[in-house]
Amino acid sequence: MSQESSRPQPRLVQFKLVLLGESAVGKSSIVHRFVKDSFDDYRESTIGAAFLTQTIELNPEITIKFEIWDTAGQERYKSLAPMYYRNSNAAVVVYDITQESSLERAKIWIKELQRQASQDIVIALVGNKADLEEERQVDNEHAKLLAEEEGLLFFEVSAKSGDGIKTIFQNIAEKLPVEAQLNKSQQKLANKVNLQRPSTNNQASCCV
Amino acid sequence: MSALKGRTLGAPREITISESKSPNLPHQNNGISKIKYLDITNGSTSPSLDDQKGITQPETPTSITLSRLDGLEDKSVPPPMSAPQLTSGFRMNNSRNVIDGDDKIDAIDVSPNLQYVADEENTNGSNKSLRLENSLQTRIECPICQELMVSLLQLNRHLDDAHNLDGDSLQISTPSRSSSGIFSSQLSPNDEIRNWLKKTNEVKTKIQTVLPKQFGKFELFNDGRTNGSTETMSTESVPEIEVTRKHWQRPAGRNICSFKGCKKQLNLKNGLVHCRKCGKLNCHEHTNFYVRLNSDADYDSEGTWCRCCQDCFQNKPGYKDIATIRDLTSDFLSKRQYSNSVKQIYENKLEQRITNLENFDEQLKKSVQRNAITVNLLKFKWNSQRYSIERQLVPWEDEKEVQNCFLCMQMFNLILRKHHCRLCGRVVCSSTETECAKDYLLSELRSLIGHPPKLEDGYSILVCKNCTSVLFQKKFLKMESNVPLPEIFSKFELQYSLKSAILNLLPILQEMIDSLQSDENLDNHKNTIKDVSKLRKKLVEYFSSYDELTRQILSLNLTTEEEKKIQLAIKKESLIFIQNNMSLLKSLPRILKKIEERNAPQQKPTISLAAVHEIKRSREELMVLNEQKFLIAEMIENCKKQRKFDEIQPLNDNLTEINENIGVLQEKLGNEGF
Repeated sequence: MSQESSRPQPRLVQFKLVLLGESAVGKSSIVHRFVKDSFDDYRESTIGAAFLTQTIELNPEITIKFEIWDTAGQERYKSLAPMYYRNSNAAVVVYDITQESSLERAKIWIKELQRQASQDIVIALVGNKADLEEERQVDNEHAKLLAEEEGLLFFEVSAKSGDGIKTIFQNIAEKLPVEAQLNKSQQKLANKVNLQRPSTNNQASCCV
Repeated sequence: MSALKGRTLGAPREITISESKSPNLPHQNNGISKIKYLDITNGSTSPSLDDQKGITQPETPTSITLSRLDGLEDKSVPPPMSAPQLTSGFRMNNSRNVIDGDDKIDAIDVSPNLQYVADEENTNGSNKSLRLENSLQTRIECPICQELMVSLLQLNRHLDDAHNLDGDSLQISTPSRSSSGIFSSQLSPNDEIRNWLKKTNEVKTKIQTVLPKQFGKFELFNDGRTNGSTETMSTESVPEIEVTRKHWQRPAGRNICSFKGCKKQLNLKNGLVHCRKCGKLNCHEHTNFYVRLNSDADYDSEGTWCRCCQDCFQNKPGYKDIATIRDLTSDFLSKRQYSNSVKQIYENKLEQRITNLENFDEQLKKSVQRNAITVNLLKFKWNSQRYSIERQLVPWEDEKEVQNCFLCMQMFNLILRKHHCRLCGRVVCSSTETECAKDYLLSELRSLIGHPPKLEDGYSILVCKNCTSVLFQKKFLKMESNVPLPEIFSKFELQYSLKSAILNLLPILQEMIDSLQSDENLDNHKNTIKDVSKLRKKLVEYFSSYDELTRQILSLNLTTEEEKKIQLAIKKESLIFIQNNMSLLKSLPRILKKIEERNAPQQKPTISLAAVHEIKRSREELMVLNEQKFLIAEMIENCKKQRKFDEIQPLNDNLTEINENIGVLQEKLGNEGF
C-alpha cells in the first residue's frame, strides 16, 4: 500500500482518434491489432462506427488513453464520418498498399480533414498490408513524399503481422498536445468525483 | 367758374369747337356712360372710347378726347329717355361726321389741322361752334354753362366743382337716339340730370348683382339686394340654362335627409332642399355644395352653378383626382435633342471657321513668302490682310450697336475696348479680370477640334469665352472618358451589368414557372424543369457574384465623404435588390415541389431533380444514423455489462450527437421522411 502510494500517480490524458479510409483497407484490423493484439483473416466489414479504447504510456508520468472511432469505409456510411472526425485530436487515414485507388481515397480524406476538422488535428497516413509486398501497387517513397508535403505522419504497417502498429499510436501520442489537453481535462475533472481512481486497498489483503 | 376765359394756348391754331351730333347712327346703343376720364391722346381716340364703341377717327391725326366713363357699361340698360339731351361731344374737328351720335361719351377732339371751319351742315344755329382767331389756341367750353376752359383737365374739375356733380353722378352723355344732335345746354338743367342719374345709379347697383348671377347664379346673390328693377336686368342678360327638375324627388309626409347617416327630419328649420343633380331631398347642411350642371342635370363644366348634395359634389368628375401625372419625358427629350443639335451646329460652325482661318493663314504665308519684302513691311501687310480675311470669314457684329460686353455685361468705355471674337463675331471685352476673350494660337484651336497638330506656329486669334467653352467641352469630354474610373465605380458598373442581366433573366424564369404551373402536358414539363434548374443555377451564380461585388465595394477603403455616401447607397440598393429579387429563387423549390406533387403519380420515376437527390441522400443519412444510434446503444449496454464505465461517457456523448443529427435531418425531410 505504501508502495503504491509512493509511486507518482500517472496522469491520464484522453484523446479522440478516428480512423478513415476506403473500405477493406484494414482499419478495423489495425485497431484490433492495437487494442486486442489479435487478427482475424475474415473480419466482417464494419457497420457504422465502432468504438474502442486503448491506453499507452507516453512516459512514466503520462498515460494516454485513445478513444478510437473506427468508421466504416463503405460509401454508405460516409455521412457519419464528419460527426467523428469533427472533434478528434488525431486521425489515422489508412490505405491499402496493394490498391492504388485506396491512396486516392486517402488523399480525399486528408483534404477533407484539413478543411473540416479542427486545426490542430494530428493526421497520420498509414499504408496497411505491408506483408503483401509482392502485390504492392503504391510506392513507399511516393506515399512518403505525399505525407511530407501535407505535413503528416507516415507509416507502413501490417496489421496481420502486427509490424509498426504500436509505432503509429506511439508517434501520434508524442505529437499530441498533451499538456493542453491535460489542463483541459483537469479543469473538467475538478468538480467531479473520480470513480476510476485506482483502488487504495491492498489486493493481497482482500478477503473476498 | 374759375375757368380762364379766352385764354390762348400754345401755338396759334384755328380750332373750332363744335358740338356735333352724328347724322348716322351706326349702332343703336342705349348705353349709359359718364365722363370719368380725361384722356388726351395723340393720333387716336382714347382707348376707352375705342373699346366701347369701336369708333376711331382716322381723319383726325391728333385728338383730345374728353371722356367720362363709368367703369361699367351695360348695353342692357335702357336709355333714360328723360335724360338731358346733352351734346354727345365737343369736337374741334374738320371732319364731317365726327363722333357717332350714339356715343355715350362726351369727347372733345382737338384736331391739329389748321384752318377749318366747323361744318355748316352739322352746326346749325344752336351749335356753339367757335372759331378762334388763333389757330393754335384751343378753347374748351363747359357743356352746361358754356364757360371757356383752358384745358380738358380744368373742364373736368369744373364739372365736378361748379356743377356739383361728382364723378359718379355726373352725366353729360347724350343718348344717341336724340338724333337732333343739337347741343342744348338749355335743355339740361341739373335737376333733370340728377333725376336721370338716380335711375342710372339704380341700374348700376343692379349690374353688380347681375354680374355674379351671370357667372354663377348663386342663389345668395339674389337675396335681398335686388329690387324690382332686376327684372329688366335679368331678362336682358345672357339666358341661363334651365336645369331640369323632372327628376326631383316628391316630398312625402315625413322626409328624411337622404345623406347617409344624417337622418335629419326635413322641415323648415332643417331645410327641405332638392339636390339639383340627383333630385333627392336633403337638409340644408348637406346641400351646401355647388356644382355646374347642364340642362339635363348632368355635370358640365360650362353649365350653371347649382346646389347639390354632398355625394353629388364628391362624385363630380375630377374631385377625387388628387394629382395628375403628366409624362414630360418625350417633351424633354425632344427639347434636349433640339438644344443638342443647335449646340452641334454651333460647334460645327466654329470648327469650320477654324479650318477656314487656317487655310487662309497658309495661303497668306505662301504669298508672303513669295514676295520677299522687308520683315516690317511684311508684318504690316500680313496683319492688314489677316484682319480683312478674318472679317470676311466671320460676319462681325456691328460694334456701334453694342454697349455692353455680352458675357460680363460691363459697359464699354475708353479703357474697356470693344473687340470681336474671331470665331463667333460678337463684340466682347478683353478684360483681364473676367477673361471674356483671350488670344489662342490657331494651332491650339486646331488640336481642340481634333485635327493633328502642326509644328509651325500659326498666329493667334481672339476667341471669346463662349466659343472656347464649346470647344474645350469636347476636349474635356474626351479626356474624361479616357480616365479610368475609380475602383468603386468600375465595380459598380460590373455590379450594374450583373443586375440588369438578372433582371432580364428573372421574367424568363417566371414565365417558365408559369408555364409549368399551367401546362398539363407532362412531356413538356420534363424539359421545362431542366431549363428551370439550369436557369436557376445561372441566376444563383449571378446573385452570388453580385453579392461578392457588393462586398468588395463595401470593403473598399474610401477617403472622401461623397464616396462613402455612394458606398452606403450601393449597400442599401443591393440589399433591397437582393431582397426583392431573390424571393422567386427562394420560393422556386417550393413551387417545383408543388408541381411535382400535382404530377406525382406519373411524374415520380421521371423526376431527376437535385431536390430528389437531396431527399434520397438525406433518407440514407437518416437510416445510417439510426443504425449507428442502435449500435451505440448496444455498445453502451455492453460497456455497462462489462463494467467499462469509462467508455460509456464518450459513447453517451456520441449518442446525443447522433440524436441531434437525426432531429435535424427529420426536420429537413419533413413529410419525405419515414
